[in-house]
Amino acid sequence: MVTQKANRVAYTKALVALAAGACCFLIYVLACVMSPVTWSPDCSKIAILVTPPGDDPDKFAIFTYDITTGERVLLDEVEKNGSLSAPSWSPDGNWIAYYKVEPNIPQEVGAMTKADPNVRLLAAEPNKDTNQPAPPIESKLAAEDLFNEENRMLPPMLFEMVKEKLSEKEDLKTVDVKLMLIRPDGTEKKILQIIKSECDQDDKHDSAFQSLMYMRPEWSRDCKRIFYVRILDSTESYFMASLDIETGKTWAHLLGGFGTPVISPDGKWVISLREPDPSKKAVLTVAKTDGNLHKYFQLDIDFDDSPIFFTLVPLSWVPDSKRILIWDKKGFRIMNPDTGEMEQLGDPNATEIAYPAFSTAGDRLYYIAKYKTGDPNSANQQIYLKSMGLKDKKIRTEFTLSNVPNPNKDKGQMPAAKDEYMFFVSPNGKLVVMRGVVKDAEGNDKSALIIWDGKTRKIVETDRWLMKPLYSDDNLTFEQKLIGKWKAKDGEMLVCEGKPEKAYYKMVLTGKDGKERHYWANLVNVERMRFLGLFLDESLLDKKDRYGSHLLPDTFAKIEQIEPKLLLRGVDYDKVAEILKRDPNLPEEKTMEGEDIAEFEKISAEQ
Amino acid sequence: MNPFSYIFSFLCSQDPSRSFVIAGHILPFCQRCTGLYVGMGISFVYLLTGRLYKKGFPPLSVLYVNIASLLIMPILGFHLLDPGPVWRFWSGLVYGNAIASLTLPAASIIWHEGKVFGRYTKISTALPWILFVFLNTIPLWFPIQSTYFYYLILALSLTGLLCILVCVVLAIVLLLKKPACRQAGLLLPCF
Repeated sequence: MVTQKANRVAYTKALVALAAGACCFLIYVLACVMSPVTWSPDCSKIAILVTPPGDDPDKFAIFTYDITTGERVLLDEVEKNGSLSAPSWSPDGNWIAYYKVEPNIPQEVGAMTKADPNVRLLAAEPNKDTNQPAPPIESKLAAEDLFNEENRMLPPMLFEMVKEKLSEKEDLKTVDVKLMLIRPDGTEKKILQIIKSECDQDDKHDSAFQSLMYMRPEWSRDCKRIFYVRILDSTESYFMASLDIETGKTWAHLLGGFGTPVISPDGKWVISLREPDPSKKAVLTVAKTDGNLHKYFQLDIDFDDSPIFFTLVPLSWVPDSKRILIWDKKGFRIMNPDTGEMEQLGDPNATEIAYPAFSTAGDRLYYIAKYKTGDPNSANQQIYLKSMGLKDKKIRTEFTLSNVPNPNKDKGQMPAAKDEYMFFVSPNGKLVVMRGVVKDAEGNDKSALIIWDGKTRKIVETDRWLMKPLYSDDNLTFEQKLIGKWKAKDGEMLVCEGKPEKAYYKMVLTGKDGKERHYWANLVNVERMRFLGLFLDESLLDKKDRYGSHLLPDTFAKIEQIEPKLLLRGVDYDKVAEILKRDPNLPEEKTMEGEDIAEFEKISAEQ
Repeated sequence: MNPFSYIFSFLCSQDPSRSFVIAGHILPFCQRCTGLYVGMGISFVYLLTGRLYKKGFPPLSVLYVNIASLLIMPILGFHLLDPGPVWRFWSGLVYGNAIASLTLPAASIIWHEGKVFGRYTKISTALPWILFVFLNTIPLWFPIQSTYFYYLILALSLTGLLCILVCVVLAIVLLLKKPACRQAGLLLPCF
């Protein structure tokens, strides 16, 4: 009887325990499946546009990068003649918006004055497969087709003036700029809108769509609307509009001088600056998004020669949506758009302040500040992340940015956006990310993210992100004949086995001046081509990650022959990719005259 | 999509930026889920091979640790704290161990209609502790970059998932077979 009762109690306990265990498992699974990938609360994830070094890049890719783990996800990429803008993360963290120009040649659309009223602009098709190239423009456009948004611009006279100016242009070319949305994990992508923008393809470097990389769409705080621009190159202005994501309805708001609309946190205001007139006085345009108010302020601010102007927008809203922060090379000013009153915010000891960012709580303003060092003979200037209380105006040093790569050091200026350098301050004030250029061990320029967290400085080279492996592990081979000491005109080369043995080579090149260069190399056999994949960092050879890092060398050396003399031809990634793409039936490419071929003679077979 | 990815797509967000990569293969579940399924897999195998599950629930000291392990998940699992991949994996491991330590003995007791076979002695009490300590050391060396290890993790994860499903399904079937339940058409009278 007692045993039966004990069994019943044990049975009941077991049922409760099993139910509890099963519930814990189910709750966990539901939480994991349902939880979206979001901007982590500690601001450790960023979405970033990555390009190769140089101010005229031919590759663009948008990635999300987890600063804590170092993991990255490729969201989109284009090459040559195409372009991507900077990405914009939605406030709820569920989407990333950006502009994309597919790499096809812009169409000549003829004179606007000879418009055919029966021809309409190709409508945007949301949710369409984005891998398809942009559809060609089939016929001529009417002037109105460039402005198909509902006009909320005041006064309408301005709108008419722009249309008239465009109509005067006989040789108008347009390009389709896609307003894209993508999930931060890359699982879902759609075209939200196709925006006809004017461009001048003949002058590619200055072309408006090349400047796309400095622009980005902006979200309303409730994530229901996206503010975008249409580039009007001939009027050197940007036509700012917004799109209701759910209904697809669009509204025109104002004409501005920057490619990024600046929206107030409450979503009621949009502002922009018009290009400074010859007197160098910029005009601030303030408009209500419902079109009920439009104001202009001439600013007594010197933007002349500012390293930041025209690449970064020197405007942002204070979190209370009642004041506007304006910054130039002299500092920050806060303006009240109701009264036009200005308040100077300064850091008296700094020689330059820039890149402001408001804290998440909206009570502090973070910024990058440059201070002169104590040594009067030193050209070095110390750069800090500083913050200022918006109420008490007290300044606090968050941390020092050590070893900032700076091409403007001699000019005594901070690295600027027009020199491919840009800072990003996290809203929690704990991280500063800089997009810039660093030198590798060979002295070559490499695009990189430099990340400071107050304790450490991390450099993440991003050029490798833009590459895909050209070969696989199956193409790796080993040739004993390469082992030994080789002599060339300009020095010597020692080739020995790496560790583990016969997996790769270690190479030491010694120049005539006795300077040594170290490489770790894979011997690769692909189709008819044999080459050495040369790494500057040995650890990459073991880095068997999902990106194939161990198959992405820093440079390549094509082996023309090993015996009787070793002939090596230096080739870069693009050249190898081009050779591998060539039809194998075509005769092998001869070495071009003047191409750098190194000739080595073996002097010893020992390692 | 391989079968593993397909199965776990119903159970995990499979965020690639938060998943382990082993010998070039990305695991079909996130770091925390890796911990959960591996933790359950190891614990189930350990309890089954050591026949500890027949002795009923583990001693109170072990149970308290298991409950603490379950309580950690709301803090780490819902991102109130997110100290990185090692801690995500660790929280999954101890959570998985706690679930296995509860469900397997419970399923055994239900199967044997309330009976347990043997009791935890001083020596056998150490066994769940040894398992717990072992699980806590895994994040220190995980993962090993080998294809064999990748398949081992997949096998362990699948074992963990299958065992929890078997335990739950078994308990439900046994409950439905009970005369009281059959007569009332309900599960409640059995309690």
